Amino acid sequence: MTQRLPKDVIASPKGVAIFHIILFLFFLTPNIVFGFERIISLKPNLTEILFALGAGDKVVGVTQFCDYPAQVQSLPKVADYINVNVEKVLTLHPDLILTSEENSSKKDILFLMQQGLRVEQLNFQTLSDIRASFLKLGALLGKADASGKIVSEMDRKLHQLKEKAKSVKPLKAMLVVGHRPLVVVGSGNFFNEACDYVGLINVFGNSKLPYPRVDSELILLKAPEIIFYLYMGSEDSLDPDFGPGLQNVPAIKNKRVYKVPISLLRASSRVVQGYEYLWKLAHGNHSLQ
Amino acid sequence: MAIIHFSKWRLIKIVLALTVLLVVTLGLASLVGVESISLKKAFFDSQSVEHAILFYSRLPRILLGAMVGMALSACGVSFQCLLRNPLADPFILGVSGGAALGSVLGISLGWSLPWISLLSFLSSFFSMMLIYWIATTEGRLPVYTLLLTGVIYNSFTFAVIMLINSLVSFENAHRIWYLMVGGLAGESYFNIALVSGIVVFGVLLLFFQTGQMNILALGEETSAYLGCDPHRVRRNIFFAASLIIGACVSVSGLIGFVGLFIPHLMRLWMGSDHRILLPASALFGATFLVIADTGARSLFAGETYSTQLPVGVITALLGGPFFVYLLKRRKKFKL
Repeated sequence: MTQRLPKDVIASPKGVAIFHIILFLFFLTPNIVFGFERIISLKPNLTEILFALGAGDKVVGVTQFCDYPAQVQSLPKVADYINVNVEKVLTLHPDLILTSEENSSKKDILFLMQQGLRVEQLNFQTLSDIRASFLKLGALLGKADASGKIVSEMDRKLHQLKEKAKSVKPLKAMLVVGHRPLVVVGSGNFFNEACDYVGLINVFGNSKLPYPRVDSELILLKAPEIIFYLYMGSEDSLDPDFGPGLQNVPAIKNKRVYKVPISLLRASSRVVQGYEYLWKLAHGNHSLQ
Repeated sequence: MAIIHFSKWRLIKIVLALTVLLVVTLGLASLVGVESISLKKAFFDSQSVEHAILFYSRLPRILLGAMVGMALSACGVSFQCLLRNPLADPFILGVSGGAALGSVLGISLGWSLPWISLLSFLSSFFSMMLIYWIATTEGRLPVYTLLLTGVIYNSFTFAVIMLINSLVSFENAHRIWYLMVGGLAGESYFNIALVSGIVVFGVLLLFFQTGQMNILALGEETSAYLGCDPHRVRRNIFFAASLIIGACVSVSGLIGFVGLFIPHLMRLWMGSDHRILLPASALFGATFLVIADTGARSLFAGETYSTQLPVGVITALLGGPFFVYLLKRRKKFKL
């Protein structure tokens, strides 16, 4: 039997992993010890997560759309939904910038990285992405306990919801994210996943696209029993207009079209509350404890 | 290209053939969709899904497609002649920018649909007057001033649109983007009837100018020697075409490629006598846009994707290669 050399240990997958952890800790140590002091959030859900993890007092910049918790509204606004005001970010001297992989201006992010700023991009497409990003962020901020607790609480509530959903007959639902053109929720995102927990069947859940574009013919064929219009808006609350000739679609005939502000369904720990809200709209008579 | 002599008989033959083609296409297009529907149910059971699909989803789209296709192609022919420039398309003279600006204003003010179309149409009408007023020098309408004014006015309105687009909410930005891409879905019969009225009226007006267009195509000086008043003809074409484009853009946004490529296609096919070229382009443009939109709404609408494409994608994808094919083999296409 040949003796294992230290070299082999380092070259083994385990060795590589240990090496990476050591490297990671080496670079992270100053921040774990001293913590990040000036954090900028470039997404409303990240702002919510930072506050949920108890790092809210470290946040120095947010987006125009950040509105939860209420105190963030007084913080400097450094971005809209996609573009970043990089000059403003630089003047705030952040030591950590958080953003998500989707819907971000890659150019702005690259520029900030080139300025030597630490930018973390997290993923929030699905529920498991949300879980993983929560834990990653918890570890990064030295709040692993808090994030672990929040995630397990989230899972507990989701489990409850799923059990509850088994007791009702699922409704055929259409989730609209934009009208004229009509854009609906397809697959591969946590809006679609919501249906499993809320006793709904997404009529466009089989589409390979996350957000397919449809017209009245597809709505007539799918005949949804309930329609949620997830609107991004603030003051302008235009009623969704799905076009003429749809009065016999069950959801429209039975007046089961609901407007839901999309901010209630942000990819944060509050997503469960958003799901509960949908549940109440869908199966209001089956009360939730 | 060989000289083809004009005869009424040839015009009637071509118009009849293309009308039959259009009617057949309208009929077939209403049968194509995600799922085949039972015509019996669609016609005799007014409460059925089939009825709603045929009469409220497919038919309005098909009819609007035909009208817009007709309008864009007829205007394309007229503008190419008016500006004596083969690159002219219906959106070149600023009127489209004016119409788009009206729609964008309506959207950002939170107005509902019929009012947005109305504002868009009014805006295109006033743009037309303004462009005409700016471009007129000493009572004449010189072609280069007109072209320049139109192009600059277009750039100006698009700058204003971009300004508005950066300031409105996310949903409204989404709608503005849709307007720029263009689409034919979700119009009411009332709007379609209005647009059809204007389009048919405008195309007929243009048709009565086609004899003069032939002379105008020879150049300003030559046409004046031949007893045609180039400024009057230009003014008539400008007003008729602007009216049509304003009406179309207000309901369907900016659908590209059709107005540029159908006139050239027909020119290769039928020769460049405007008396035949204009009606042929109008009818074939209608047919073409209906086919393109049928593809756009049903190609990827199946269970796997459940999505619909912007019609402009199909017009360019279908039109481009077909045009190249005709250009290379034009001698074999004579009617």
